[in-house]
Amino acid sequence: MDKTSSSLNFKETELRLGLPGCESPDRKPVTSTDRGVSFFGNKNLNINVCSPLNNLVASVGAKRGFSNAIDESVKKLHEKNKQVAGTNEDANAHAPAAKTQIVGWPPIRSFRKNTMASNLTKSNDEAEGKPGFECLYVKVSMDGAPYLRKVDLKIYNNYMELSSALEKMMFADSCRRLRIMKGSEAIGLAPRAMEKS
Amino acid sequence: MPRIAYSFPEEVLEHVFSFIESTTDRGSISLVCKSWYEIERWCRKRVFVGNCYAVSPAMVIKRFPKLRSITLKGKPHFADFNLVPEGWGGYVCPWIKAMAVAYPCLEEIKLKRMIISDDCLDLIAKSFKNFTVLVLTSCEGFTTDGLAAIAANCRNLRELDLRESEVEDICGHWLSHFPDSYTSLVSLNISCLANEVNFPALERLVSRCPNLQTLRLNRAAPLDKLANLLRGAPQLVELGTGAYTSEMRPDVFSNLAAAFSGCKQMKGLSGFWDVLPSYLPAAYPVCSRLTSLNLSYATIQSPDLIKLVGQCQSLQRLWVLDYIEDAGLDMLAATCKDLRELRVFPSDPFGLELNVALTEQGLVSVSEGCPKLHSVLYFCRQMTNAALNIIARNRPNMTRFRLCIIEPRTPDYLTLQPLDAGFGAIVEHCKGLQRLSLSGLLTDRVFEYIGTHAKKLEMLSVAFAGDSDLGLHHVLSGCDNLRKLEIRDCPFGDKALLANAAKLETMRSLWMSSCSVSYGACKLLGQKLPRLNVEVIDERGPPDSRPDSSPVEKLYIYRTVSGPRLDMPGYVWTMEDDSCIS
Repeated sequence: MDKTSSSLNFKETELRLGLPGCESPDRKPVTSTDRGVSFFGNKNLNINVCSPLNNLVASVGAKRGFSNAIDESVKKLHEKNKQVAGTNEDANAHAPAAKTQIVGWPPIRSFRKNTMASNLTKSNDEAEGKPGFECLYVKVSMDGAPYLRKVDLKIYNNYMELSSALEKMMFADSCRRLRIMKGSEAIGLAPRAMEKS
Repeated sequence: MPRIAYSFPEEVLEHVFSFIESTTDRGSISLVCKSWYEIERWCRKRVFVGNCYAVSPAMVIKRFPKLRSITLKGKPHFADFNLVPEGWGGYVCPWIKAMAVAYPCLEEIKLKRMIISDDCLDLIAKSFKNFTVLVLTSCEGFTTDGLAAIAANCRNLRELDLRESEVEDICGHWLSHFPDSYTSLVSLNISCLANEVNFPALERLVSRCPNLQTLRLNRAAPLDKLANLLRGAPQLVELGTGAYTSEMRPDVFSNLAAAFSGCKQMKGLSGFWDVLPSYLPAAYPVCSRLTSLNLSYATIQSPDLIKLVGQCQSLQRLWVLDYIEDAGLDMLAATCKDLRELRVFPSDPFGLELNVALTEQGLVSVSEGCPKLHSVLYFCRQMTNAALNIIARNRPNMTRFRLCIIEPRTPDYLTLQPLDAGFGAIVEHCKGLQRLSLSGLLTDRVFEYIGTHAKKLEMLSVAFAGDSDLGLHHVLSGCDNLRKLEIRDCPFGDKALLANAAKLETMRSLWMSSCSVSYGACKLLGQKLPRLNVEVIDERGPPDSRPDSSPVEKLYIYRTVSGPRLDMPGYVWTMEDDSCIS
């Protein structure tokens, strides 16, 4: 597996979703070494990330429209998942619906949650379909709202759910742009296993 | 007869004071009389600031002109569990800037839950010529570039400890910034770093620092390189491994076992991410001497845990996942008679069902078998009043008891009663209890027990408990030594808070979230108690836009001598005291 260059800068790793047709300045074009990320789809979606471990990297082409970009990412991601996921291929054979998670309960520090969550694809007991920690925290910035939010991406099934949940959380009445920022709360899944393969 | 206090020359008093290290005792000394206050403040070397907003940098500097060591804490404890939104505060920068000017001889900075930037780290590196200790616990806001500045400039650095901090890991080469002439490292903890550090640089660093005692690697540190590292530092007392897995090769195993055999001083082990159980016996040579073992990231099953822990007869502290199960805890109780502290973390806290055979019985066994056990953190899914009663009677020496029953409001599973009586037994029998975290189904009754018996209690954490304000009132009016109280999702409102307002000035802080405290009550508290900062955290927008009777989302009240803080984000409002109202 390729190693991501260690000189990822902030701008490169910003995911910006604008209205179709708008340009996103300051972006390098997507290269084949980037890994796509999709944060919607079925629950079995393993979100692959580049090193560094804790950074959620999204590559969305600057000039492509929103839905094109996401479709691309999903395609790329499914390709990668086939290499890595192994046991989790059947979209329907997943855990029972997760109960609504209460924020901050049980009281476990982020470092521990993140560490344990990245054991997901390593676990030998996948047969239960319910490995350790089902949470993927990222820091989200919404235009119009001045502060970042930490959200657990795993509890949203698709972009619409995520967006409406975020709207409810924010001061802003409407969400026109959604920016997911690289943050150390994001979790890397199985990079170790991948790098060795 | 002359009064003795006035007949001692200052130098003598100063010399006597130099033997008093505890900051609490130092505080007591300073209250004896004015001259003692003066003498004490001029010779004070260490200060502990439990809440960075309780006092300003200028005030600390003015009182203690000769500090060598400062400890600062920022965000409230519940920030660890994502209850405090981003941007809340806890910035250390103003402190560093002020100290850079005032304390050129500063040696130690220890921070917890604070935001520290690379610029700050750079300032530290360049301002304090004799800087020796940097401990950053659960901090964030900096990158490996900041660490490079520390490495490059701090010639006398002894400790660099990044416990569970969030570090933006830009480049593993920061470690190479320690110059070749640098040999004073005693303790290095980089276990929170995401990426590999430059390993050859680490190896050289380790082998040229003869006083190195603590080395905690990160997950990315490969196991097959550990043996070499250990051979370069056989004097290590505490080791944190990286991922404890590798392709199974006999030479890796035998090298590792040989390297461990050479570590005659080793007392503590941690790390153990991604454990391949067949590698565990390599560590057996050090097990009998271990006093501290952290297996809380080791996803290995009970039989392997039992084999390992069974070798560690000298263990005083064990952190482990609930994979250890009741059987493993039985073995622990039988083998580790010197055990003082046990923490059992959940392997599957968000799952809906029990995945391991860990119940209340495991904790009961340990409480029976380990006479020195005084500190417990235990995550489980079921509990009974009977079990808590037995634990309390077995261990009246308990000082820290944190029980987390994973599902909120879980009753005694045998009787279906609330767990009031069980926790009541804990506070009644454990008269020295300093810290308590509650869980399970609890009524106001448990708070009555706490208020009645928990006279030494300093920190209480409450969630999904109680019926009414009476519960909160019991605690505030009864717990004489309470310093920190944190509450979430309890039906506590205005009455208890307003009735016990004066109590709040005797505490460090109170946190309440998802309770029923009204905006009006917050305003009132803020007005009447000028030595408190009453901060309302509400992300729905200005509390003024809602009726006074409307409950606030979150409330953080803390005592302070430096007035309202000026660095609040837009979702925090400080309730003004009367003197501020124009």
